[in-house]
Amino acid sequence: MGSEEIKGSKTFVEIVLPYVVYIGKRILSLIPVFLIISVIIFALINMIPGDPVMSMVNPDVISTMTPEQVSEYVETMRSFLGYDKPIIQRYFIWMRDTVFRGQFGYSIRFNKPVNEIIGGYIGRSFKVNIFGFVIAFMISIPIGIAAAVKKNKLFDKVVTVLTIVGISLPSFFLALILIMIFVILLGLLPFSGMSDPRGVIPDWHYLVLPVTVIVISSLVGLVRYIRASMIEVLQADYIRTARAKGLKEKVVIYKHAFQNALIPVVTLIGFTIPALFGGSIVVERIFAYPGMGYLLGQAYGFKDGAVLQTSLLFFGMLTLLSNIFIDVGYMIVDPRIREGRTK
Amino acid sequence: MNKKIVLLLAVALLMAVSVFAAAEKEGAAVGTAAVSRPLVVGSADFTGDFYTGWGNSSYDVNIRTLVWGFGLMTNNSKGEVVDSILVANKTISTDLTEWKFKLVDGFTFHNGEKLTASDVKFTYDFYMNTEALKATGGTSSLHQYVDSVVADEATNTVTFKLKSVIYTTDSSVFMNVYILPQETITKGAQAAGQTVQEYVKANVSSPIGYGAYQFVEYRPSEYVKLVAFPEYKGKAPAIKEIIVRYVPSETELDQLLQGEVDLLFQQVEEAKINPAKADPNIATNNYFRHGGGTIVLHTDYEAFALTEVRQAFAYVLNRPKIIELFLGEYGLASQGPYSKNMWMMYDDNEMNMLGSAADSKFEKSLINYDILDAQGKFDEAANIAKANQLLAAAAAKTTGAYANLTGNASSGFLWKGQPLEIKITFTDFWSDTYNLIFNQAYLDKLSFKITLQGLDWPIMYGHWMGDTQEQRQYHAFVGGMSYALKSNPRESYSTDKILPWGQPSLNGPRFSGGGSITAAQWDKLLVDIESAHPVTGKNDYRRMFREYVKVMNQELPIIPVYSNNYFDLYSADLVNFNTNALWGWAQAILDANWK
Amino acid sequence: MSDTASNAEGFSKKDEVILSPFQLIFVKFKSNRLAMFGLILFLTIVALVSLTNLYTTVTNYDFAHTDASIKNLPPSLQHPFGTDRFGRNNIIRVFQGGWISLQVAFLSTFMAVSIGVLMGAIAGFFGGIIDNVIMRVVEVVSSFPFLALAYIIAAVFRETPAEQRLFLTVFILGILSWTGLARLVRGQIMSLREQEFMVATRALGIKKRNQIVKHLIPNVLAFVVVSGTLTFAGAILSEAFLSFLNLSVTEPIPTWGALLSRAASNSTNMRTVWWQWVFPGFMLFLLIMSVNLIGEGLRDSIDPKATYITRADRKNNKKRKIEEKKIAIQKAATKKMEVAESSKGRV
Repeated sequence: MGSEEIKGSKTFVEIVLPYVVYIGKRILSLIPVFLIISVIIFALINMIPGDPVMSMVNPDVISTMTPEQVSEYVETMRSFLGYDKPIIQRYFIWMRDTVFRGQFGYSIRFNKPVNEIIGGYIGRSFKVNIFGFVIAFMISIPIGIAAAVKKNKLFDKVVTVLTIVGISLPSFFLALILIMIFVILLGLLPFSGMSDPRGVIPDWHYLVLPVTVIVISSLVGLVRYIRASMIEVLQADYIRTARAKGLKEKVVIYKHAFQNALIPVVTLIGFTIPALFGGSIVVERIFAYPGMGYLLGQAYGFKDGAVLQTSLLFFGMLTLLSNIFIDVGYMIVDPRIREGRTK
Repeated sequence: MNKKIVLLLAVALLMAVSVFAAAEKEGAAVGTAAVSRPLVVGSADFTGDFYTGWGNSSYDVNIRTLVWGFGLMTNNSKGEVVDSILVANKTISTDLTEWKFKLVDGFTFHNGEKLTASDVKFTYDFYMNTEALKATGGTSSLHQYVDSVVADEATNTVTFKLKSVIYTTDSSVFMNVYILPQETITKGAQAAGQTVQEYVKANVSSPIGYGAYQFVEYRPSEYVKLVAFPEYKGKAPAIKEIIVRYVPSETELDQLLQGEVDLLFQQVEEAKINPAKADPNIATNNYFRHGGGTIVLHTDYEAFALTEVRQAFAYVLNRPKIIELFLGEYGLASQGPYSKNMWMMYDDNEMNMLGSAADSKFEKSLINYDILDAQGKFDEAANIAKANQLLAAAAAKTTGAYANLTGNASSGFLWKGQPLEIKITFTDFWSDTYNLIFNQAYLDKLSFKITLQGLDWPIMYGHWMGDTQEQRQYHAFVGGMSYALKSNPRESYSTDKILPWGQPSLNGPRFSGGGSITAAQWDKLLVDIESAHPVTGKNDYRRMFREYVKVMNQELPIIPVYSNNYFDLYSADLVNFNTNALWGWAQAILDANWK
Repeated sequence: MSDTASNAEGFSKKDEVILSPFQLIFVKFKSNRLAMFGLILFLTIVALVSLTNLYTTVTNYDFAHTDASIKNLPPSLQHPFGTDRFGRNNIIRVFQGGWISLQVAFLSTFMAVSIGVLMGAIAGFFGGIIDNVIMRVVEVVSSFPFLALAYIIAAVFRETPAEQRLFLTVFILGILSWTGLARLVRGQIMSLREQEFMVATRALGIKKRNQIVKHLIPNVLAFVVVSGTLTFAGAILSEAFLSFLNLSVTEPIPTWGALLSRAASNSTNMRTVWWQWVFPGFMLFLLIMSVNLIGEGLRDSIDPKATYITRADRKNNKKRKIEEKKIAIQKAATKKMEVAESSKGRV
């Protein structure tokens, strides 16, 4: 960190350029992984037995048709959805449409092109997840540090037990308990949804409970990780040196120890973000919050290939990109890695 | 030090939330008192297809009903098909092929466009252009019945030339065909360079109708908002605003009890009905409905080709227990898939008798496949004995397919030399119930094997309809039966609706007669029912429908598992809200008002 | 340690005992009260659950037996945990549910740990292309949300008969949760590989298989055990999610996840028939807590730098404190006496 202050003469471009080059290289190396992921997604989803067209066929709709018409309808829908082509051809069509045309196919569940719907769901998911994650992060840092500093003291033990309570209950259950307390008993918040159709309750009220569940369920991992990482760093020789120099305990902890403890925590951010999005299938269902989790849940019921493929590809890319994000994060926090990579 | 900061932060956060929430709440109470109270209806999620012709969600139908409510004809709360308020008068030619409707002048769509005869013609042409409709993923069967439509603007009259006329013509051609605004759609399509079908499909989530409620806003997976249409020609509804919102089934009941929603419709579970009944702020409407849970048996597959085997299976199927486990108190068993059309029950004043101790005469003449003991409980031993007796009788026969069935009750029955095995399949929804019904202890008492298989809906439906490339292997399919106002059994059960395996067969059970009726007799009966006179043939229809139900009961292409005993649960502030099996909430709400 | 050292009355034979790493871990673990509590709790739960399973197996208990007349009864002497919505005795279901949950957790953890250790060890030891391929696989598997893949695997193997659903659940959990451990092991092995003792094995020409199995794996075992306890806790929770989505075992087989998710299907029921979720929830909590405490304890025990206080030390400390107190009291007393005497003297 201090090295930049010394070499103050570096221009902005000189500082940023190595990162840009590095990111560029990493993105290029993503291409084969992206292709592998896309093949796996496509193969897996098409291995699911059953004809997706059948979930479009509604007994109410077809009950007035002759068998010939039903056959014709099923065939029409099949070609409308592109299911009449051989599977390998379908993969290439999908890749072509997704990568070059930006068209993600047609949703069976929503009876619309995927492009029209998916943006809204991704956006809403980002809103709760990022919000929740930032709060969790902000809370977990002081708690994790305090627990590490006071290792094996009462505070640490209380935190340990509380974090265990936090992960002992599945998040769907936590969601229902929160509803029971804050909605039914205290009447402070609305049950579920995104906004009040009557326009009475402000929108952010609807975010409180889903965000709380996300905070609680990601807090545990963060606190434990920060604590463990801090404990390790606090035992390092340079900390002893710093203490020996007679630095204030606060300076030792926040300046010397925490910055180094941050490195493994950066890894955790990268892992947690995709996990958050995926884990919300159940929570979003209970809060009737129409995000990616809700969309996935709906898509499974209907064997909605286009939506499944698009959202899994989205999750895959999100993870890969967050891996790059981790590495760049490493570069920023750890000068040794920075030197190694930008060379 | 840190501990204190964290604690402080947490407390501050909590307090901020509660203070804001409390402040907001007080403000809200004042705010809502001023304007009229909207009705909030809880519903499962919609697809957002609010124009007819697209879509696979029956929850969209309620929105359509509010926005349009009627075509040229409509139904009333007694299940009769009558002319709608759109029609001044109607004349039908004696050969029934020409139907002439004179429209009432002065009707307008919600966007102000006049509704005239040419809009009606436009609508029918719109749906009869099946090619253009299919290109957008839509369907309609109108072209089967309608030959041509002529509109006369001067007299505001539409004349329909029909191809063929059957008993259900009025309901299928005129009842739920909602009229579309010609000018808006053609102009919009021109501007966007689309066909009219493409244009409507593109705007499928913002419907323009002429019914009691005007569409305001749709937020996907959230809610639909509607307000009363000021120029509505019928009786103006007292409820001025309706919000239909998606509520998760996990919390919907609490949302009702807490007043966040005002109405939950067609509830069947005891766990939801009883707490609502116990709450003085909640009122309930209760009505029976035929249809509901069924098991479809493939009557041309292996051992199920024999009537006796199907009957034996029906005897060992413990229906009272299914109802007890799945529905709790509120469920009824009936003996036919539709032992009557619902309007017949109304006609006969028999609604209260359905499935009760005072079974209607009709039900008594049918075979009851649950032998009950003195306490009125399912008599396990007697039912198993009856099943064994039927199987033994069938095994004794040696003609045709009967030769395949051998063995006896003590050592087990065989089919083609292998132990007789019946494979049932169901979706996850039914998994718990059926795994408990056919538990190992019970299966061990039977003289044949029953295997259970949970499948996802599209897979199960593919097997059910025969539209799958997979090997055929299932005998019975657990599902439900939807309900039509005027039932035409020929559409679902005639032998020409059976296609070879691999293509979708509308005749789900693939039924073509059985021990008591030949295929030809069966088809004739169905054709006779269908061609009863639409205006005067009511009694013919009733008589023949009874014959049909008897065959269904005897031959069991379908086992009716339970009839729904529906409860509409709603805020007690809502009065004059009279729903019944033929009159859903979206229709009944027009006459309701706040206390 | 420093306490004992300062307390030392000079070295004796007794202090020359050299503890092997595992003995040291054992001693450290034993001295961690929270971890020991976790272990005892865990063993108690396992014993309780196993006894229940023994009982239900011996008596051929019928879990499908329902009785509508006693459904949803609150806890009583006859039904200590109440009855469920089908009129079944909840206590048996809760304890038997633990049996299945523990099985799922044990087996899937075993599977995840074996795959993870193997893959991580191979990748870390051989490096190069093999490492690259394995790490890409890890990247791909971990780039999908857990539930998303679980859903698809469950759908692909939909025709599994009910009795085998348990193993399908184990398979799903195992096949999806090994990636983190693989990364960890790979990192450890990569750093170990460069250490002197490994250079020595290479110089001695020891077979590669033996290098991995006999020399590397024992050195990473500690981390594996810790990570395993976390996987174990995670597996029980994941099973609950799968149950909630109807992807796990079916009735009449109980699991804690299934009991919880059935109770959560209606929020009103959570208040009115609370016993249907409180008991499985509490058991789940106790089990996960015990496993986590054991894991934490193991982590601390394995850490060579971590300080610990053994029971004996604690006793000694106590004794010392008491003695110090005694001495202090004595001192005070003598002082008093002195004061008294001196004052006496003055008088």
